[in-house]
Amino acid sequence: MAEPAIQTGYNTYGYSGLIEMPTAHAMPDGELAATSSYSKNTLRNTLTFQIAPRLSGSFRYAMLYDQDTGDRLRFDRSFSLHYLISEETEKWPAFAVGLNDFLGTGIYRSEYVVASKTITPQLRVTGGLGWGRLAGVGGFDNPLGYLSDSFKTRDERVANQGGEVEASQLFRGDAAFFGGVEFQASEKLKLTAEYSSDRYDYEDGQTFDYVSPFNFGISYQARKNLNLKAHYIYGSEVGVQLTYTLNPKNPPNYSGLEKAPPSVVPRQSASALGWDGATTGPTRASQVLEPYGIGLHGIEVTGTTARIEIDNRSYLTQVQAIGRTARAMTGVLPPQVDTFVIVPVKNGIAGAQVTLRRGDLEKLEFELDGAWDSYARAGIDSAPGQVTPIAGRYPFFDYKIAPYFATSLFDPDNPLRADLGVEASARFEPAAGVVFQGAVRKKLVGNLNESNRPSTSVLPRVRSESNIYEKEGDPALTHLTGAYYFKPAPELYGRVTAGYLERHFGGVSAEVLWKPVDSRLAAGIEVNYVKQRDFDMAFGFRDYEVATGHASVYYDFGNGYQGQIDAGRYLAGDWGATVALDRTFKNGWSIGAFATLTDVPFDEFGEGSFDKGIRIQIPINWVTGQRTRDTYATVIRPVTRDGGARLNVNDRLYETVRDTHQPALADTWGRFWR
Amino acid sequence: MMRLVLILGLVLLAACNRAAPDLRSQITRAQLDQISQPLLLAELPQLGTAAGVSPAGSNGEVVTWQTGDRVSLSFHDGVVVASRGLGQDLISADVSNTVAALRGGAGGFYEKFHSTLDGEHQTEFRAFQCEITGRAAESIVIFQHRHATTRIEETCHTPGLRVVNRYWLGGGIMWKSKQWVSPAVGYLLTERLVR
Repeated sequence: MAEPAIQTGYNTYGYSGLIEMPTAHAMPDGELAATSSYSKNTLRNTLTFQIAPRLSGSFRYAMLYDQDTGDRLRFDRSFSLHYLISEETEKWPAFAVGLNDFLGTGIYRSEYVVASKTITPQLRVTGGLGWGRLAGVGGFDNPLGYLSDSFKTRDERVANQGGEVEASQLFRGDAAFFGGVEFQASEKLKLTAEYSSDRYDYEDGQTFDYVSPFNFGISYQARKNLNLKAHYIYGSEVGVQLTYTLNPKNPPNYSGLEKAPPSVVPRQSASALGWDGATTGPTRASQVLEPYGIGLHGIEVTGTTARIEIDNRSYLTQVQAIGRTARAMTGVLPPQVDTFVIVPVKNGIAGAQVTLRRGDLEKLEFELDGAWDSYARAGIDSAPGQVTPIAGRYPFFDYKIAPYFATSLFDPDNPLRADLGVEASARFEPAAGVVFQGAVRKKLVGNLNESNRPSTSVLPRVRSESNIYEKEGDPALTHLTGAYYFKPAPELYGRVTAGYLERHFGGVSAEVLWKPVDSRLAAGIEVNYVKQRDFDMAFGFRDYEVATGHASVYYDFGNGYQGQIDAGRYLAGDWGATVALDRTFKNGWSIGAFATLTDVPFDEFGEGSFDKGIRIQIPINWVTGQRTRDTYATVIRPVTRDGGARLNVNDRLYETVRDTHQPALADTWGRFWR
Repeated sequence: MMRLVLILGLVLLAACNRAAPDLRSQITRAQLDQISQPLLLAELPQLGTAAGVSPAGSNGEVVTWQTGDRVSLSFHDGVVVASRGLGQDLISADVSNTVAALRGGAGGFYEKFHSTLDGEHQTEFRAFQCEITGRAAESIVIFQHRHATTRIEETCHTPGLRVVNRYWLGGGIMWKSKQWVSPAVGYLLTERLVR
């Protein structure tokens, strides 16, 4: 198999390509690329994710010169998919197929099949067949017309709200050839020439003058993660492009900068341990964990077994906290204790219990394959019960005053809205499982309140007036709740939350989750009765109230994919289901997409036809390498409307329980000795 | 970031992140003479950092040394087997053949293994083929103290990489060494300041 020394780049649409045209090769699995491309009156910003080794997806936010009104910018959002059908071999080129703007309002609507072959290590040729916008130059009768007459014509998109895949239009109508050549002049420099089949009929004349189908470009790899391009396009304009890439698989600080773990203290050298049972023992145990940012929830020594329940307040993976606890305990527990049962506790409820033999800890600390060996010898089971919390664990009070950063990305009028401010939050736990928490935000700077787009919704305005909350809710009480967490049965978890649940709604929420410790599958039911909050985000309510709730199924496919289906009643009283698929990385990154279909007809829903979006989670620990469980999470919706809107509640059960169970423990066991 | 650490009432510069401190110029023989606990100077030129480390624990034949701000290095008879807190840490190593070769083993090629974690917490192993490529008596000076040592050079190969480790052993003590840790950490230089 040929391994091209030539580097595959991103085109002006932000997917694998030449200058404007596609190429067949895929990007490295997991790569995330932000591309910004500018040419006269056209700016395209694209976020592309290599979802799987052969499949990439792009979300594009273009700012175009509006042909219809002629005087202002038009924001156009579109999705693309690129699928590598087969990789390049010694004899055969790589083949790929792609769809552009198959959901949106259709400006960039096109489809292609493309083949790319490396001729010499420095030279690659690409040729393909395009439909739709990519059949604008030298179009001919659709070869697929031999299969069926229906391929011969491509109707104009039916006037709609966008969002619908018009499968009956894909690969229809005339087709045209496109192609090009890439030459890797040096490690950093690549020259490209292409023949574009895009005629720019829509833009020609007002946006720029189309002269010729030939484009010429130069690409410079400034740094490992940064690419700069310049091109002369369509015989009249110069374009520039910047691409920044990163891969969740490559954390900047490798395995992290967390401080060293405690050392195993072998029993023969542990004469002066000073464990005297129930009185000072727990205090000692809690003191040795404290510098590692781990709280001792409870400890009980029965015969030769010690049961240690911990609050992991610091490490993203529970395994790292468990490994550190185990080593710290070798320094305090009396020699006759030969079995440690360590249980991560969250919101007062126990996750899986991890049983470790003390002899294994002593033997495996510096063993070459110590991670696997210790995993193979560990027992991971459902915790049968819980021990009494140590004296002083409850009541617990904690507060924090910290800056916050809130974003609203790619809304229809402005691609970037953000606020920076101060958040004061507090948490009070009077007893195990009882959690009171709240937060108040005061904005310092930002433009989240500058959205003036009036809601045109014909549904109850459960989300479409969030801009009014941004205007009037400063300072804002973001949430203030009391919650009770409990375990009604070994494989069941329960939660009842009441109060100001989220920014726009308050009320009562109850949830039950079924999740066996070693199961990839989980299922839950949540019911809520909520009332809409006042725009000033203080304590008052508006008139709208609704009963909402969902039955949910969660499945971890392994290999980094996580699926979720929620079916039930949404905030506007509409019934339907949400399907979500996330690519999850074992280091905590997650990138996924979701879509919700409800009984609200597309034309009643409004722009976008149905609710959908992309969600991203980035652990702060991945960025800094320091110990922290904080995660930056964001949801990007092309447009936020009222259909298919779900209530937000803090600490839902699946997210609470998941990292203390399998398969998460097995997936991250490499951090046991870290 | 610079942090001062007290060792037996003496101020010794301990750790610095990414800004190479001239730690050596701040250490004097008079200071060292007042310290009764073992002390090692550890330098990581590729990371531009240096620190004094002292023993923090031992398990079997492995001794773990720690800086004042809790970055650790573990050694088996002076050969590095683990690091914690450096970024691309050496998670574990099997250096039993190196230890035997340093004692004057049979000669010829032998294996050495390192493990690190990849970006998704999975263990990755690196197997080296190593050989002793030099052994000679050498007298070295560490802060005005002269030590009679044997300088042993170990050359190790793994696909795409060749590393040369050097050990200065005298009287059963690793007085000085230059040992490769991982691609991002590079070489670790050690000097035994206090026995």
